[in-house]
Amino acid sequence: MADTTVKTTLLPKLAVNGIRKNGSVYVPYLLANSIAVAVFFIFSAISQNKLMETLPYANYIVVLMYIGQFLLCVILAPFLSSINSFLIKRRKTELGLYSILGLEKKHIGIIMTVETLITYLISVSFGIIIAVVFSKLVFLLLLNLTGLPVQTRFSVSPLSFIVTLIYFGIISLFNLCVNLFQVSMTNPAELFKSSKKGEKQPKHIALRTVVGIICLGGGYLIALNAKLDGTIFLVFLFAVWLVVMGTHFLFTSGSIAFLKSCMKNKKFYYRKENFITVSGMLYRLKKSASSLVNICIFGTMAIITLICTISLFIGQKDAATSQYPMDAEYYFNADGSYDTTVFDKYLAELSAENSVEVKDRIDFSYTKIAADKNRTDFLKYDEATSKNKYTFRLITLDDYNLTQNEHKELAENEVMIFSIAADYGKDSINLAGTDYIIKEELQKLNFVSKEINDLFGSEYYIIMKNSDVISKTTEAFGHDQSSINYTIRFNMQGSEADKTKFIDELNVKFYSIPESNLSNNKIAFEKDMHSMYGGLLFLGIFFGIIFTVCMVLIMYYKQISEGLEDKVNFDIMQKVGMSDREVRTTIWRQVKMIFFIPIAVAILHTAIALKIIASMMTLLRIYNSTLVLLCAGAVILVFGVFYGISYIVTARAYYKITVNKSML
Amino acid sequence: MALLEVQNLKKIYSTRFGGNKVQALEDISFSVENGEYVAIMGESGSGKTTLLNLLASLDKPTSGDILLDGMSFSKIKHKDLCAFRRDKLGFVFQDFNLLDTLTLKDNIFLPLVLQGKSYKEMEKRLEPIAKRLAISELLNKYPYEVSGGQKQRTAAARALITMPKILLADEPTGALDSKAAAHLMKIFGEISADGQTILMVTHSIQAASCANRILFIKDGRLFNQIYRGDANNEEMFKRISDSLTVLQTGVKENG
Repeated sequence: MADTTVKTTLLPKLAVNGIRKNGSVYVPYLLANSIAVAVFFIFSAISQNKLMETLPYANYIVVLMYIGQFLLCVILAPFLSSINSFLIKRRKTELGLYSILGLEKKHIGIIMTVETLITYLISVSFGIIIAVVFSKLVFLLLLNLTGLPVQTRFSVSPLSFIVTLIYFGIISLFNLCVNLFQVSMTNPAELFKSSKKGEKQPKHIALRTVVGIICLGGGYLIALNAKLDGTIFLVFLFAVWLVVMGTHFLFTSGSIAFLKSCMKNKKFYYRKENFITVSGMLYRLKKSASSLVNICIFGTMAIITLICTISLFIGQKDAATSQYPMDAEYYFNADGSYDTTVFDKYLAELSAENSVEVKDRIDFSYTKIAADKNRTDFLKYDEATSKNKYTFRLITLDDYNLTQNEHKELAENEVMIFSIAADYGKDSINLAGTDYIIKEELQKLNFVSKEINDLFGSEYYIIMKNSDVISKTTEAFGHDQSSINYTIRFNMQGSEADKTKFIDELNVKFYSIPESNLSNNKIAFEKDMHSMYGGLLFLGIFFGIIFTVCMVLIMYYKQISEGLEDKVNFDIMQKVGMSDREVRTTIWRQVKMIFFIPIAVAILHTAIALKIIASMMTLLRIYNSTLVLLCAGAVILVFGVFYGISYIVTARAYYKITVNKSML
Repeated sequence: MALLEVQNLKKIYSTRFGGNKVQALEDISFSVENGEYVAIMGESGSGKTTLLNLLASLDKPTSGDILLDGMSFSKIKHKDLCAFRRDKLGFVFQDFNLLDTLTLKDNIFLPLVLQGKSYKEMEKRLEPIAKRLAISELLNKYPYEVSGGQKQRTAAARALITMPKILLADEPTGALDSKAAAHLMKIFGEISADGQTILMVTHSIQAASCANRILFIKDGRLFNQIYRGDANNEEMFKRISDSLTVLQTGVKENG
């Protein structure tokens, strides 16, 4: 009987009190949890939304949201568990006291279950409320970033609620199990003591330091020397893994090895300025190295995520222009030449109907050839044996002069060459056994763009004297007349909507022409890019937020536990004969150092990673490395300021704890 | 002239808004000669700790003065107080007050480092002290790796290494088991025999019976004092417990 009243009234009360009394640690935990719930819920709501199916170009976003949800799961679950273990460690004394006062293990289990239930309910309901309140705003932000038509109808699907409730329910349940297991494994006396355990000396410091240096150095070398090829993403991930491991080892062991070597230098160590600082740093690093690693990694991830997504978003216009120097391209199958009157008729009619002005219309034919580069010579391409595939587009001098408005001349054995990437750079070229003198390396063609940073590009436009030379070359490479293409390209002027409608109608007519082959246009491409890169930026922003929240939370808990320890040290140092001011300045200096090492290392990591990031960006058609650099600078600056602010805010928790008792 | 002179010391604690006033010390005067080993005894709340805090210059008396080597505490400027405490006084506390961040050796060196002594000098001073306190083997360990008695001996070494005018000990055996306490008291006796002046506040009759003179404090006043004379520790033990009986029955009568 008594037991039931205990169960129904006392234990829940103790649970509520447990959370309230530990408000300074639980409130940030609940807040971070709520933010995580909110972001998860928003991602889920967007991907589940029926509206997304009806919007044009929105399929990328749905996919991206699913990816986002998945990544969020992968990142959040271990993070929330580690925070949970920090919390339970701090609560052990209190739980030990309960059991000394006569509560049985099962009672403590009930208390913990109720507590978990309360924290779960608070964070889930608060998170979902935030999410629902802001969902419309967030949705508008997404539509805005992705350039989709602005829609105010946005409803939340019930499935999102269920998924969110289940996912965070599983995390809470898992944490509860861990806590129950921990408490059931220890007896009250141990529970009582466990928050005061001393630090053990880490083992194999020298070995771990060496491993750390090798990992970090290897990661850096790989990142700096990465060649742009199909494996670059794998290489990048490998480098990231190495750097994470290296950072971990160097923070946990390297720093200790360094400080120990400082201590070995007696002249340096036994000086007033260094003595307390070095020993204090050593102690702090032993205790908090793993949190520092986490802060550093989360910081780096936030910075790099933002750099990538922001530069993609800003660079998308350039990327579209690089892909399509002219607004529309139409390709025809033609043996030799093609009569353009039918197409031109449609063009004229439809442009007039839609009040779109067609400008800069050009047409030319070209022959596309695949070749295998054998040292300096280009040979016939064979699918089975060839390794270095190059593509040539052969154009007659007449077409060149006409489209480019030039009056150049060529002899039979002379060509002009244009590379879409780095310059060809030689005086002659051997095409399937015939040598041609390169009269000029062109730097500009109005229908294709040149990207010197595009390391992948192995495509040349070659201008030859006439179609006879071209067909001779074509035959030498083993191609027939069907490799000849005919293309019409033009720019448009008019309103966005008119242009879209015009292109849509023109495409219908175009594909009714028997010789039609393919059409591309910049408008559709831009919209595709806009929706994809906007979606990425959206994800980037939210992941940036999540990473930053994780980071700030770790920082906050670090401050609290440091504060509690330093409070004791403050007293002792004063009793031994340091003045209040001396104590404060030395300790606060250490605390600051501890907190600014991770951001400094994060910035270093980012700086090293910039090169490989810039080359990966070229795969996404962002060739402007200055843009990436500027974005990096801006992101680091903003992030640094934010880091500083969160340091100041969390440091207040530290000061609050230490200042009270520091006066004797 | 006496090494330490305490003149009409008075200390009143008042709550922040001047409401309740607590008279911790009424009027205490005594002096300690160079090389003396003095124990101060009294019940909880009798003002022992207040007295020690005043002697340690950690707190200021309401009235009265303390002179060490003829120098008045009240004349020392606040900013010099730290250095004064560090250079002239040595402390041993009940709860050791060792820094977990430092090895035992570095804990002992701490005041010397603050004084700016060279490493050579520190080593030279450490050796005999560590030997005397039987901690030579433990110097490279951290405080959380050694026992209470070892910690307290380390704290004593830290107090002694500056060669203080006077060693102040606040319940040094309070957190120790009887064996460790006896060991520490034996060491205190030896240090005292070497000429170190010691002033120790204690509850323990066992600890106090090692001293040359015992001051009894009651309700913020000096109640009684016993000199050792030729008596051995057992006799001292008996005399102290007799005095304490008188002290405590006196409380009853007053009550």
